[in-house]
Amino acid sequence: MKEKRKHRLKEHSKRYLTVALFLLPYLAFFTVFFIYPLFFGIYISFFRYNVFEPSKSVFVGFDNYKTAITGLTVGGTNITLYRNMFWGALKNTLLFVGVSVPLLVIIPIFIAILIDIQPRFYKVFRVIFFLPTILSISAVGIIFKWQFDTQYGFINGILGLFGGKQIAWLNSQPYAWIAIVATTIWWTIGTNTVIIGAGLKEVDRQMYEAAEIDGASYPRIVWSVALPAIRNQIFIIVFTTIIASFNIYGQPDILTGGGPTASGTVLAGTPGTTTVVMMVIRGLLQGVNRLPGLAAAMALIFGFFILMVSLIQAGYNKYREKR
Amino acid sequence: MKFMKKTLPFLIFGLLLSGCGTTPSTSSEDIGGSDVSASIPEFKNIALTYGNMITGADGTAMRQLVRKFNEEYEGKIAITETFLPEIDYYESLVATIPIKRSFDVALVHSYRIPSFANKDLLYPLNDLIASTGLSISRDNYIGDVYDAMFYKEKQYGIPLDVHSIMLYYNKDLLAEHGVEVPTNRAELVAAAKKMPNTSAGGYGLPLSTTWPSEYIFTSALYQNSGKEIDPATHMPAYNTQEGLNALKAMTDFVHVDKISPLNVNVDADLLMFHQGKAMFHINGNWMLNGMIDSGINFGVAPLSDILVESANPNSKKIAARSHTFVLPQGRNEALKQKAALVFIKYVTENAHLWAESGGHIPASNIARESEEYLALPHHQTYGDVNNYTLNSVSPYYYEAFSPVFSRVTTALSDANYDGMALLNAAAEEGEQAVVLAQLV
Repeated sequence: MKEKRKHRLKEHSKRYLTVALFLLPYLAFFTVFFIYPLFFGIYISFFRYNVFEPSKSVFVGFDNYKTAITGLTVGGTNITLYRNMFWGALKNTLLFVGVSVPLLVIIPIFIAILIDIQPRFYKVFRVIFFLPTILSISAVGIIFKWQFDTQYGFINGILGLFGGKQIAWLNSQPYAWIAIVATTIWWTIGTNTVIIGAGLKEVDRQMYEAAEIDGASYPRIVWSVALPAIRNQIFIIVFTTIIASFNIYGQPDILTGGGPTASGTVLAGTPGTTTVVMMVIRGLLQGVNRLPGLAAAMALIFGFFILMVSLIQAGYNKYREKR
Repeated sequence: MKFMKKTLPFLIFGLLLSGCGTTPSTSSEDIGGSDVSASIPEFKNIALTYGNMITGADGTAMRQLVRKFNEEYEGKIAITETFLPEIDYYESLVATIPIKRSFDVALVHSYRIPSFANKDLLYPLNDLIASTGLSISRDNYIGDVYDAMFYKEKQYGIPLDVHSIMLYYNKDLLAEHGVEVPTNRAELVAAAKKMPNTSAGGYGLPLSTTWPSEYIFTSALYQNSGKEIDPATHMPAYNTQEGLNALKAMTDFVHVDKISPLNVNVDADLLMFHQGKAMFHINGNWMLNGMIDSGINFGVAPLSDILVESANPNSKKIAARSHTFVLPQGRNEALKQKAALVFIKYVTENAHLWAESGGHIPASNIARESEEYLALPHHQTYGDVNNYTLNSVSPYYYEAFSPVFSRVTTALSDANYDGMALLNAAAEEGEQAVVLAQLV
């Protein structure tokens, strides 16, 4: 009996050890690149942190959070700059998420459905739609910077052919946002298209045939058969696209440099196309006089926003599964 | 005997150490074409690391200078060069200097010296230079540029060059319209207006709304007798009538004189000039070789008096920066630091190669007086080097001054801009940024 228990224990520990060994590399990276920075970020968000001499850092309590959320009075100066920048950048980020996510979900679904019909050269189209995804944002940014150029751009060239006026795509609003969203769509729809396409492949063709026999039109088949069948894939792409869109940085950084401010606007806190991640990196973490404590506080507040959105999504998923 | 037993090992150890180290040279040594004082040590296999952000066309010249130095100093000093894109390079300095793992010699932009020195990231050079007796002094360089190497009366840098923006002009278009190279604003506008100033026919002076507008605005500020910051308080000082005049001097090209189209993106202005669709173009001297390669028949003139309505004692000034050698704080080994000075002196005095490749103006008088430099045709039309003015010295310069750049862009894009409101908003932001930066 004792021998049997000993053997079982050995088997168990062997199995757990194997699992642990497989998990170890991931856990090591996860700890070094996520857990440690997260806790370090929380720690320094309560300090006026000195990167050159950490021992000289000063504990400031919630001052960094106040600076970001409501502003802070130092001496006789009311520091509202970072508050305005943070809320302005957050507004911009939410605007981008609100506009881009529906497009980044609907367009790939549409393309995937068209490819699923398997028209002539559909494999070529599949490659064409996926190809931009492998490019770096630097390359994509440079390509589209010239496509949207006021004087030399392809887009204004086309508009000019039809007698249209030149549009300052990257220098005026709302065109700067349109350019950023269009670039993002071109660059990123490939992945979502592939995920939806894979989902559509799994749909039983007999369901399409049955619907057809019942007299359903093709759009009706897509709406009532295909889309419900790929709802899990749709949920996944909505979930991942929202998080990816919250982290937008490269597109405005290269295309517009965070500008342009709205015409006639002079106040701080109206950062044309500056997003939160961009502001934290470009505005607070460069140069010798950087403000890592404030940057950490802003990143954590922003992280909290994303967490809330993710929890809502997770809650919806649970509700959906129960239904 | 007992005494000998005790002291002999120390004597032998001392002799061994002196063999590994240096022997003060009593003879004069030629370094970079100039005599060096006897207090320079004799170097033996000193390995130095050298970091810079020179990744563009001028990188070829920098690599060449390092190679030539290594050949001339073989067995004495060996330089290993590392070059990185600018943002990564400065990040690496900020990350490695505090842990004493940075380069032995580094090249930085002059405007960064006060902020780096303020955080004790740079080694002060005064005593070191004096201890070597090397002829590195204000007399050997452009005076004002050399002065900008000081922060709180300590010297932290040795200037390699001066670089700034220039007025490029298309010689064929000037000849076609029968105009001379302009020497002031009125002449420039009159000449530029001879162009059709339409997208099909070309423009007089297309101006990008973003780059190099910060250089142009700063030059305009100097020419209109304004200043970026108050050196005593470090606070913004550009929200003044002079600042407003500077903004107007720039934006009038677009909104009033209409010699530039609206909303020109960065590099689109350069493309117009390359294609012969622009009579004038403002860009850095670092674009010189790009201009030559484009095959356009062009000339270069200084921007003195171009960004101001009428001449005044400051109207010839042009905002400039300098690539500057510094010694990052580290292990601070005296021998290595002295070897670094020898290398710096060599490169600055042979900077005619650097000038040819990057279009820059050598800060060293020896380099500027060299036959090779004097044979560079375009460099001779850059104007008086003393007009190239480096920025006000402050560790919070960027925080105080940079908010104005986006306002300049706004003013260039919007004909109905409220100049003083823009400058005040920028100054308010700058002031808040300085207050917070001073606390860290």
